[in-house]
Amino acid sequence: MKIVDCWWTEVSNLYTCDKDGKYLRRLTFDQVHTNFPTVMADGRVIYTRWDYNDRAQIYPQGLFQMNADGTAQGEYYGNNSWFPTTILHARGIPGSQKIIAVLSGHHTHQRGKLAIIDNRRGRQEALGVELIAPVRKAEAVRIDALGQSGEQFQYPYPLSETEFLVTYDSQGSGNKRYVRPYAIYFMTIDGRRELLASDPKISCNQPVPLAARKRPHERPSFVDYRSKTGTYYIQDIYTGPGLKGIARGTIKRIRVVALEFRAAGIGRTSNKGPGGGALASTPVGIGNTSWDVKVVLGDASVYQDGSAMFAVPARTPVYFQALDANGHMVQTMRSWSTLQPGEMYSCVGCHENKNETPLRSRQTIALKAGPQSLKPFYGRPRGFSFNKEIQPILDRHCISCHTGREKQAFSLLADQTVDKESGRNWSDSYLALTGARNVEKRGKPVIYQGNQDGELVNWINNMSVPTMLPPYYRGAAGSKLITLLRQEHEGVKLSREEMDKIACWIDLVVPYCGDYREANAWSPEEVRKYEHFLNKRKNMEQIEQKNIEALTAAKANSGLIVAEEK
Amino acid sequence: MSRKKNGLTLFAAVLTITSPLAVCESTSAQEYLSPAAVVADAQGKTLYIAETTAKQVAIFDVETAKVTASIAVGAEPTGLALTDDGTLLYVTCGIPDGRVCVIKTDTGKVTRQFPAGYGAQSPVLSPDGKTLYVCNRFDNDISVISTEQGKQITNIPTLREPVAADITPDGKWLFVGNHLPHGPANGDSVACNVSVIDAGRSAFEIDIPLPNGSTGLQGIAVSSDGTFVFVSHILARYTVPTTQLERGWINTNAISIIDARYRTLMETVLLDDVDHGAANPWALACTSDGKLLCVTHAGTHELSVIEMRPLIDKIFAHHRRNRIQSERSRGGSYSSYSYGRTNASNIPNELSFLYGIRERIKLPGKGPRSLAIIGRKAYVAEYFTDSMAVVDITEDSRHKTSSVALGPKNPMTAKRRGEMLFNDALLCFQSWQSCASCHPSNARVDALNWDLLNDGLGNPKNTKSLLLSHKTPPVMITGIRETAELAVRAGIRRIMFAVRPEEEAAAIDEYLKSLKPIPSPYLVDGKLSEAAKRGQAVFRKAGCASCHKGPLYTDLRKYDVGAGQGLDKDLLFDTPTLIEVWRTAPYLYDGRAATIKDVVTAHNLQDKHGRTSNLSEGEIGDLTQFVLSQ
Repeated sequence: MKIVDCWWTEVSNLYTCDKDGKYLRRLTFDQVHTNFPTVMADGRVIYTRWDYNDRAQIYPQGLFQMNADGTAQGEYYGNNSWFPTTILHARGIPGSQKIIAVLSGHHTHQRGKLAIIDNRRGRQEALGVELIAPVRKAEAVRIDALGQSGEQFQYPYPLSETEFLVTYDSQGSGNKRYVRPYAIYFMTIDGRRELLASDPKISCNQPVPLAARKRPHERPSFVDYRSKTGTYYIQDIYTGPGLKGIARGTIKRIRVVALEFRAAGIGRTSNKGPGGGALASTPVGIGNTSWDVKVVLGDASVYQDGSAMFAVPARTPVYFQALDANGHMVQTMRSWSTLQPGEMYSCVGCHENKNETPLRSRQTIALKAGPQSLKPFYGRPRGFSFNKEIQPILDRHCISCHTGREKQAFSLLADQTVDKESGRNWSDSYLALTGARNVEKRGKPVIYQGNQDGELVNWINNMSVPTMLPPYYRGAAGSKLITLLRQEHEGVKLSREEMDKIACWIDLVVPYCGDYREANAWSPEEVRKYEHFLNKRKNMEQIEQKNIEALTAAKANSGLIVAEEK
Repeated sequence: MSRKKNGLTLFAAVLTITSPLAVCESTSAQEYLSPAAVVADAQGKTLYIAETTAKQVAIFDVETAKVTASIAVGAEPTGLALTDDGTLLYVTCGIPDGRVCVIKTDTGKVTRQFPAGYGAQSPVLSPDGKTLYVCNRFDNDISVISTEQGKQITNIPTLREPVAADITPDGKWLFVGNHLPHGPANGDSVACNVSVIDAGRSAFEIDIPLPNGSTGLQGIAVSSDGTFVFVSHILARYTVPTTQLERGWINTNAISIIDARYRTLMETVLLDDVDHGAANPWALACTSDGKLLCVTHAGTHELSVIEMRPLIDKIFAHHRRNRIQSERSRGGSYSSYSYGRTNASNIPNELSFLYGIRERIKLPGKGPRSLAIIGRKAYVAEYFTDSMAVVDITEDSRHKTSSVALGPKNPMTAKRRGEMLFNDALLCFQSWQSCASCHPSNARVDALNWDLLNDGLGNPKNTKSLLLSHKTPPVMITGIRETAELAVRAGIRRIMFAVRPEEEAAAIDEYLKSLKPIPSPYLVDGKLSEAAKRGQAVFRKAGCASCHKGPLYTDLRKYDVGAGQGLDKDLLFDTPTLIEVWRTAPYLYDGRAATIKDVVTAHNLQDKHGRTSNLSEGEIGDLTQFVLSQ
């Protein structure tokens, strides 16, 4: 269903079904893996999610939470932090608000060090983490292969805050293949252990006690699959570190962008930045630019009191950008959120502290005004394509001078350069505006990488840090290109629409393709490969759609829908 | 208030010194005990327990952890105060005729009775024992009673439903907690207040408003050194949509800390944890060494044990760090909005503020509503299980908890079980609240507006009392639910975010159906006053009686009474019953009218809600008296 962006393999998201396996349907619409869900005593589900939108992929594999019907998806621990690199195999501890989990790395196997996480102490870095067996302080380190040396843990099953069952290997094998079978132990928080099960040839793992346990809290589901949208409510966008130092009244609109994730891996770019380095398959831009296809769904008003309420398509990963009066990005989300049909999800502000309640302000303007429909961004929602949105503007206003010919300014023509390694045809104008340079390998130019701090355009590198960036960090607001155009460079006068599109392109991290198949330089075999995986995805979606229709019909037949509406 | 206090008839006190078996006999007429107040003697040898539904006070021997006797008081006891020497026990009995029974503890006999006001409760003795202060809940005042003369010297008005009080050790200041906010519910800040009384002068001093959203105040306790006053209450997040509970998006649960020296609100701290509400904070008590503060959670059946000094230090450090200036003007509050050079405190929004300085202890019984501390042991009386939890709160052994039955265990009727469930936050997702959080005091009101999803968002409605709701369908202000039964089930699903067995909803129905109105304090000797009688005619003349008709004063239909504004313009509203309307202020669907007079004057300019514009001032007064007498 999903493809790993830098590794040619398929992975999956979370689904749910009834006890007989009926009505199988998707709950998460995430980029890469979403896995190891476990149910907490209060009925919430915690799980690990790979989460990198316009930031480097090594560190943000935090722990997420949702209700069992997929509503209220959000951070549980460490989505804005370097540490722990990856949180795996998490389970709630009975009778406690803490969880037990394995801290692991990114380019590693699914194993690592054992920890108790208490989000009451904080949700980022080592604030809420305590290493156990034996108990010791966790240091917030920045290591890709976190916790791979020495003894190794997997799949802890907590019995209490101090005792648990766990899959364990006392020696480990570094960040290499498994060299000996793992065994199952009873273990205490201080590390005393007793072997319960082992086999000389194969690993024994994932112990689950066969014992009666208290049924988790059952929460009614208000997901309504007849609806196509969900609604967000923001109480006060100025609350939280995201817009720290920004004067009230600055934010006028909130832009909602949907992410589309690649169906298969073809070609690659090379990316490098403060958050690490990575290849991106089926790239939608040159190196260091947008990671995924971006679809601008539209924008909504943010009122004077910082409140906003708007409907978005359900079952769609979306992220938000806070825009100023010029339509320039002040802050962007670099993660995403997904609503279920009919869901209403409220937050306080821009990445507010998740250990805080809503504010006790007066009733907001957004609540009184009711939910807004998103105002479309100059037409129907579509993948943002440089060739379709930006090149026509350049053709109208720029290419009379910018031909790149002798004695003329650099080329902003649509002329294409084939980049075999990336599997893309890049235009002159795209390469020029992104300050592209050829990365050389053994003296040979192989692949294009953009300069996110370029003279004309700057943007948030797709390999940026996992932690919060300050407002106005990069983007249209600080790009010289925008200043030049506002100053009517060489007498060129752009319309508001043209200016908005250029600013939007920069703030979406300068994507080139609005569709993974656009401007490809693929072989027929590669075209077939992509189509194969895309069709597979579509087929799966059709099967799921039938399951959802069957579920809705079953609910209607049993009178459940009428009863709920009473 | 015009209600004439009835003279007290002589009252035969009955004392039964009993074995546990005899206790069983004495309670056979009363199915349950329902302990609601507990007090310890200075020696720490004896506890006295007010058992409301059994209409008796139990004597509990601490050493043997047994009830040794019970004293019948002839009415539901609501509160206890014991003299320092332990010889006299003052017992308030509240409804409808408030009085104080004086029990000589050596004989166990009620020797005297003092008259008090309607809903008398929470008696507090001055340190010299000469003055007894009594909260007259439904008279909205405090009786100041001379214990020697056995009569009221004066009474001091408070704001709305005084339910808890405590006095500084020097006897100078009495702090009184008002249960509910007063005034309209659609203002910028809606909150209950702590009324401060200058005990020396027996005079009202000042009201201290708690933060916006404070309601359901239950407990108040002065620290043993007299420096701080702790107040337990709900901190409702009533301005956000009720679409989620996570992170306290509906009700949070708090203690406010008042600086007794300046009579200012110092801070409000949440008792909830991030993913785990601590619903319905109720009784408060400090250890005598001033080190620990204990709070019971009647909704989650827990005891919070808070280290007092670290708590205060943490607040001061936070204030210094964030340049929050403490108010030094009397009655002042720190601001929940920042203005000038003073920053707003964010502590009332921090769900982890108590992390590391508080222990949450699960109690064995249900409904802990009263608490006494002897040394390092907390004695918590559990209302619904008729039991006493004994909790060792010493540093190392805080989890040692034992349970003592206060009487025989009677099987619960559906009605009683319904009441327990109504007050039980364990039904709720992450136990943030119980039904009683918004409908406290036997399913009445919290005086707040809430934005429920049943009629769309952006149009909050004032909480309705559930009294008579099963008899007056349709229900909710807009009449959106056909029956109260449907509304109970919708509440469990939509407000508690819970799927529960049908049997529980049915029990809650039984409980709600069993609720009886209590007499209006506007009645004189149980009858309409002269003004109210005149008002009855005005009620008919103005056309009120054409919709508010029949014994329950409703024709069960919906009308446009010209009240709808904004998203609710031209909306029809269900005609509410007027029974007990005297205690359900504020009025109209969004609580914009603080009084009944406002309903028929300022908010009825077009005469769409009865023909009231031509009524004389006198007629309006009489009409108001009549309506409030129901």
